Amino acid sequence: MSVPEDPLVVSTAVGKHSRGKGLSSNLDVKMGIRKTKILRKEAKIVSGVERAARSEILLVEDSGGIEVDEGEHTLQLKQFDITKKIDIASATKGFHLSLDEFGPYKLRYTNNGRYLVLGGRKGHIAAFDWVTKNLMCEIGVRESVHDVVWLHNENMFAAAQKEWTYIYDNQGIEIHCLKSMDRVINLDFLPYHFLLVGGHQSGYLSWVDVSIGKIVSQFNARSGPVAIMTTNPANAVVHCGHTNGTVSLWAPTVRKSLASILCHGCPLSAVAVDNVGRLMATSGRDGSMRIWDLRNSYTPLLSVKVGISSLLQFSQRGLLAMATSTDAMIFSEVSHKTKPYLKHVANSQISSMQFCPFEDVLGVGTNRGFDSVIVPGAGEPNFDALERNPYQSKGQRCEAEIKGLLEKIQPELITLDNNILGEVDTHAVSSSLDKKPNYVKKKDIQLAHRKKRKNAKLPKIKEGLRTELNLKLAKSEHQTKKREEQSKKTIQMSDDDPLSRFAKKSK
Amino acid sequence: MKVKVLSRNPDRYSRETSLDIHKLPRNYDPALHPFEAQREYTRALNAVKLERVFAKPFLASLDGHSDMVALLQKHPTQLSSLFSAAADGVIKQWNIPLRTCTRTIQGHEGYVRGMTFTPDGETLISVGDDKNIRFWDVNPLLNSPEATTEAVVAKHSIITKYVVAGVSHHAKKPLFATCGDSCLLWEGERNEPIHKYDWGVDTLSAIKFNPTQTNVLGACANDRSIILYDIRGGSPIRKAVLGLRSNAIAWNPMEPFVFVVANEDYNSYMFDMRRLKKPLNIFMDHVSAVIDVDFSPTGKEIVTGSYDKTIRIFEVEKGRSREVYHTKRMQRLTSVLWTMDNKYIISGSDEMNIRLWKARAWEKLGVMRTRERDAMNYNEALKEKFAHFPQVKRISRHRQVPKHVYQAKKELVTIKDSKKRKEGNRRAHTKPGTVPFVPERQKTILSEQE
Repeated sequence: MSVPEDPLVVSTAVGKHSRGKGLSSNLDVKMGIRKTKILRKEAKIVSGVERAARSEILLVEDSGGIEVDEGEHTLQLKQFDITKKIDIASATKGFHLSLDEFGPYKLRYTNNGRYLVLGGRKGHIAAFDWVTKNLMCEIGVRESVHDVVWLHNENMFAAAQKEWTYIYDNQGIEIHCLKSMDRVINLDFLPYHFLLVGGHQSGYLSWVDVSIGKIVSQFNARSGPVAIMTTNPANAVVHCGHTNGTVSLWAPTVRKSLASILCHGCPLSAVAVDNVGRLMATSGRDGSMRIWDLRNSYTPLLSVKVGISSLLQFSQRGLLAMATSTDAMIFSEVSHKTKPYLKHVANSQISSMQFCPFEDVLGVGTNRGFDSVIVPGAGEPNFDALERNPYQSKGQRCEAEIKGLLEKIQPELITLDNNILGEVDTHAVSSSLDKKPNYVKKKDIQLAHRKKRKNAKLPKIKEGLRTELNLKLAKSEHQTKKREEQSKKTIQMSDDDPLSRFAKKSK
Repeated sequence: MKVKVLSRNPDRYSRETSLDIHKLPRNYDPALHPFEAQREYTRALNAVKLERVFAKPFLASLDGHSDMVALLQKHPTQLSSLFSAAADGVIKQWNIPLRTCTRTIQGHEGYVRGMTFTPDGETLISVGDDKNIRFWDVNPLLNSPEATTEAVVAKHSIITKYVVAGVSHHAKKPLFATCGDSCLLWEGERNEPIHKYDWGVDTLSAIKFNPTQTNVLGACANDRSIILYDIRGGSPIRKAVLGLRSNAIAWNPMEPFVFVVANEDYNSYMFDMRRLKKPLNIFMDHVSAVIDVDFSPTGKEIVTGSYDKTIRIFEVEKGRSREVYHTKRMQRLTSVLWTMDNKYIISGSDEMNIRLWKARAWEKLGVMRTRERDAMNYNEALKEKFAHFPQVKRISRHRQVPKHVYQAKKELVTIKDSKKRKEGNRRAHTKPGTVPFVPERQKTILSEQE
């Protein structure tokens, strides 16, 4: 990508918005209207990218962070110190809820980070606006609650209970009982697909489309209870961690795992995927944590010994939180150094964690309550109001719901490679060509990319070099011959001529 | 040690009063917009489905003629004005927006064969089977206050000795050409033609002046040929013989060299007038003879009316139609027009009705608000971007056609397949090279003469 001339565009920002190199650098089309059209389209895309980069000057908020003096370390900071140094409104975001009776607690924030639902193992479910602390509902379900998750907005949430999975509205009224999702221990929701994903005690995985109330897919993953499960927010693939040290990747339309990655030589204890689907963090029971590159190679970037962690979570800006019994450790610069950043000690065993979207807050559910921990620099400062809006009104919420339903992505489009829609389906083309009867003249279509020569003059140059070399060879041959002849002559002279002793001696 | 935490002022993100619009801060960071391609694809699918939902092309039917509508003519300067002529010699003037007939004339005795306008749009020239060429005032009310709508007298009339089967006016000069036994060139209101062009003995059925290359004339002859004339010279310039007779000719208003003919062999052919050896494109899809053809004012699309009771719209770069219009009551088409604002199509047919259609069936008529128009434009762009995806293609191509068209189409496919198979078999069982692959575009032209 060329550096834009516009002084308001930062070239690094252009890189962020760029969707790849484009065709023009390696265009197979020789000339004519097609090439013009392609180039014109590319110019449009480039100008779009530049304009997106230029719009960054309109972003109003800056991300949070900690600046330390010399000799200090951020790890020394306790929540108490942080709340002293920030404004009162922000300080209220760090708080503790003491819920002694029904723990351990699972928690989940809504997509816009405004609402929180807590599910206590012993049957206590509470949903509230955690910023204003307005309680929406609080119910006792009188059976164990294994996991809770918000659906597409704050009007509904699902709870995986002892027997079945239930859907409640924000008043705590049971509006649905999903009997097909029985003995679920892990829940997740894919907001763009409207899919509720459940990992069962029996080893089954199930995907339920909550907009039509139908099971999209349900099958046995054949590796025991699905205790460790997370979804990749960038491509909606489900990552399951297993006791044999592997992480398997699942999509609803394929009954075999899409990939299985051997991550540790021991049983896994936690798996997390970052916000853009680039990094995966795994931790094993041997106390090691590894960071993996998910985009192309599935290679480990890093391996560190940090102790057995029961939970891993990425924040929007790439911080990684890790829980070891009562401690929550937060790392920064995950992909290259994994530097310890902050540490929070809870008053009991940590049972769940989640970074709040668009806030510098980490929610920690423990055996005896809930901690809201302030982590400067965790959340994305500038939200997109048409995507996820923390300040949305009721009307906007309704509109977003309708838009979301209209744009619901079909489950068939969940694949490992997100770019599959942008590629030419050469397989389909070749099979359609094969299907045509013999008497039809076959079209000569090149399905594979023709390798373009970097230098069009290369063959000429090569030939030139070759002739040059030949010339040189010929010349040197000629010279050696000459020399031989001369030496012969001199030898003869020395033999025959008596005057040869006055001749110049050849070297 | 400094600590900074995100703290947003809610007032900055919410509107002050309910009369304000909502504040919508945007951030185009790709990380905040996951599943870009998938969502765009879903939107494209929705857009193409909505296109089919909104596709209601039929606007109005103008009835009033008491015999089959022989031909239609659009006014060169007035969008709202349309002239139609029937087989019983009646010529009617229509007001399109009001959908009313504003004037009725008994133009000729018997069939009206052709109508054309002078370039200023003041005079209509009509020819008929009664061998008359008549000149009519287009706006009698404007030109003479005492005239009534029932002005029935022609401004001028020429009684000829020739058979006249069509007429077309020069785009700039006071010249017009008629066809019939031969091509005749007339000037103004003179009683005798100023020139006569002959090539062979057969008669001509359609004639059209080129609107941009103004001295060039194209004509379709009954001996299956297309003839081109240049009125600056004394004789015709070029001729191409096709497999079957051509019924109508239309010039591309944007590319002066290009014209289309409607042929009896169910196809329309687009030619470059400099090279008649091979057509530029063949428009296939009709299942019966194509009777009339007209270019859109943009020169990017053509509309054809056929004997199979359907109207089809073709894009000039493609060989298959993008749209087919039909109704239960519409019979065989006699004439089609594309209006000068590129928005409507007008058709005249056997059963005495003139019909008004939208050129883009899904288009919303009338004034649109900015956001609505933006949404429409976005949908159009999406449809174009994802046009080649199988699902999108399937939905956008699907059309319900009358049963007789469906059956005829099936039959044609069978015939074509069997011919191809036979040719393939012959090719397979003879010496290589004896049965060559002949492109479809070269098969149709029998000969080119200069």
